[in-house]
Amino acid sequence: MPWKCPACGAKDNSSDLLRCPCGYEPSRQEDDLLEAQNEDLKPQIKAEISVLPFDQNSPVSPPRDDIIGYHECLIALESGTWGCRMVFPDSDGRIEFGTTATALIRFNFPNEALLGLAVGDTFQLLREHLVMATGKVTQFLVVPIKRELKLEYTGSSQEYFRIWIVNLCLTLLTLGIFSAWAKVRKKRYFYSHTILDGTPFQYLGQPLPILKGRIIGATLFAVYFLADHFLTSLLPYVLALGALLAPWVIIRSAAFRARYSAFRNMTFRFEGNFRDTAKVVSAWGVVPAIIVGMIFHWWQVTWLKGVLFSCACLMFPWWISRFRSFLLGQTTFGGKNGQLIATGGQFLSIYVWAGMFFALILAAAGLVMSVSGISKSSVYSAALMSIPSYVGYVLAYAYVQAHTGNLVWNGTTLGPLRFSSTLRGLTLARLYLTNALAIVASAGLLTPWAVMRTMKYRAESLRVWLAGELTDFSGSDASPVGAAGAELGEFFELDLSL
Amino acid sequence: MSDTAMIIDGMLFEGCQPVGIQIRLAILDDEAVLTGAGDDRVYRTSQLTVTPRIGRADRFVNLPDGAELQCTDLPCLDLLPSESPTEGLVAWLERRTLVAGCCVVLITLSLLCAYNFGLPAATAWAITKVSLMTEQGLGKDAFTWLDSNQWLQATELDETRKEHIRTTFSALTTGLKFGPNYLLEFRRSKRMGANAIALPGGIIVITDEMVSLADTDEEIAAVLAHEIGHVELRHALKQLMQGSLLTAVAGVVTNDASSYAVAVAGLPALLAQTQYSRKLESEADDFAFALLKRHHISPAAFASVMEKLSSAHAEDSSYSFLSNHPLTADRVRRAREAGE
Repeated sequence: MPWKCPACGAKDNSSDLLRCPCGYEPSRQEDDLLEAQNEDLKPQIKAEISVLPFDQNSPVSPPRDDIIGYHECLIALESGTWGCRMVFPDSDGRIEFGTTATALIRFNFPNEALLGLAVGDTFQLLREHLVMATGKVTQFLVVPIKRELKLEYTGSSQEYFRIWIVNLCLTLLTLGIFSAWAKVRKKRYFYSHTILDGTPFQYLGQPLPILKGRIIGATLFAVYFLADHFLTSLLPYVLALGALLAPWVIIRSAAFRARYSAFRNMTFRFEGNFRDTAKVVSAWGVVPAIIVGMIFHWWQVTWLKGVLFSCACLMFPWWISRFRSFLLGQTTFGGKNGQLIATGGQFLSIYVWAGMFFALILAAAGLVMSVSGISKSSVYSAALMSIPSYVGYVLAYAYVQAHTGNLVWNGTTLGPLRFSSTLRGLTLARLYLTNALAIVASAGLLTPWAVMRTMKYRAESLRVWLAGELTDFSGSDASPVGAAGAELGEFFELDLSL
Repeated sequence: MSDTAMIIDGMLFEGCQPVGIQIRLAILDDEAVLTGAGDDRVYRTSQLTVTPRIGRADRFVNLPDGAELQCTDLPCLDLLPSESPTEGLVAWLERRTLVAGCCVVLITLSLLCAYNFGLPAATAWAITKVSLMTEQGLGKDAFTWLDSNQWLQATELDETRKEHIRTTFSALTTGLKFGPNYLLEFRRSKRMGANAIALPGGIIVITDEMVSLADTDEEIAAVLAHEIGHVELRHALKQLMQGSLLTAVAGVVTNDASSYAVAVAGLPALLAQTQYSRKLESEADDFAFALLKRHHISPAAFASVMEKLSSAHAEDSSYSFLSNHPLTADRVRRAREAGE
């Protein structure tokens, strides 16, 4: 029976193997969960967390003392069931049913109130809905949370101001050579002041390899820049070369970031290879089509341009969810792969809402303008219009950042770690707007303050839960990763962060 | 244990699992003894390294067997060899408020110097490295692009009018550095309205709208002279290079601001760029005034055509010749002064 992989979206997996080429293995992950819990939970608890025969009348056991809440519920559906989507009335949680067979469905509880509260009722409700939706549930697992790992950000504006200004000054005076050191110092500051469960993260990057990487990256960027500005006829070929290079740059950036980030003397790792990355980046062939189109001047044909452009736009949410899932799935810590469950539809709804906010604000501003009778061609009207467009843009941008952040963090698991993120678009937008005002008013001197308060807010919005034991992670050797790819990625403002 | 012993209490992370053990490391001269994790372990002090100081964050002591010790930032840690020796001096500078104050002054001075002297000098030098051939290639590419992207349409001027303007143009350009490379093109442009553009390498495009706006030959000559000034002084190239350099410098300075305050990071580069463009415009004006005088045309013609553009602009915003030519009143005044 073929099934669809929830990690990478690939179809046509054979059920005898129950393993997707991307490495996702539903049965293995279930076993991991069970094993993790069985270690400490002892026999009488086993009954609760092991496979429960689905029975509408049997209530879920009430929370026990050592469990502070439940993060998610894993439900396995009988093969071949048709699905639907449900939204639960008392939470932000959503459940999605595909036409998948034996696929695991994860129900997240991003709503903090659900942790430890009314859990039994929610599960009962969940079960009832499941009956309505599908009729047959073969497994029903809940993941108990035993402990919160406290996440704090302890950076201070004054301290960071001194670090920022000294490094900026030295970078300018050395015509940019010092920038490698500056990068290391700043990264060290951010990492060292992000404290999880009492231990700061560690940035292990060294200035000299980064400088070497920067020089290579800058040279390649200069080639691109010259092609863009002086040798426009060569640009398509440079872009094609760039597209071939892109998976490599992404792999090296992710690998560098992972390899030189450590927690408790263990580094992260990124395992993606060129073939898989290229497959994900190519976006089902649209990106290569665009580049080939540029080389052969297909752009002159308006309708073709329109078709390709709208194709790219329409598939973007699905592409970004696949890309994020891929990046996270290939990242490991202590032998455990990350996993992200988020659908393109969820990304799409975020972008649609953001677009609507922006359009609404612009429309409102336009309405006010026309009612107040200011002439369109006057200089003031341009200025008056630019303020609402800036505010609207910031609001939409902050909304997208907050909600994609929440979506990604809430859908992420890493071994026994679970995350809940409660970023708010309005709060983030207010931060960005006040940051912008402060930075402009202080001629840039308040930049470190802006950086620190934004980072603090982000850390405060993120909570880390432990479902299982930290000893589930166990170390592996790390080999060095060159910095050139990562630095080149930085020139093109490649952002792989969550 | 003697008085000179250095005691470090902290958490030991072996590197196989993310759980720590509370331990104590006692360092006495060249011997370090770790107690608390099973049997006592003895290391040589010279084999230990410590991570550089950063803010008030906890630091880590790397042990030779791959284990790591997390401890609060004690002054005595600086006696151990550093994991990254080059960062030691920076870390020292970062702790001093006076240094931070000096840095503010230094940054301001160096940015002012770069803006006033460094960038113009670098651009002037870089321009000499670009051959005329390359510049002409750029101009041709740009012209083809404008033609094929609906910026320009075929002219509707009659042949005699064109010939007349061409004669004026060739009279103006004879004897100039770019002399034989000059090429005057006539186009109509809905998007740009009354405008004239100088492309690098010597192609000058004048729009039908501009020709009909100017009443006299002198006014057309004035507009052409201004554009010739741009070509002769290689302004397109200059602007491109200054723009790139500015973006690079601004990128370094506003690196942090960009991700925490949407879109304001571009402001300084934009302001500086506008300032540079104004400077280029007045350079082209000065060149034009001198050229016009040499051909016995009063620069006052330039003033009158500017005024016409300015009033046309007030009626219809599609007249964008002025949009990147600010401070019209000032330029008109200078043209009048030059004419007297």
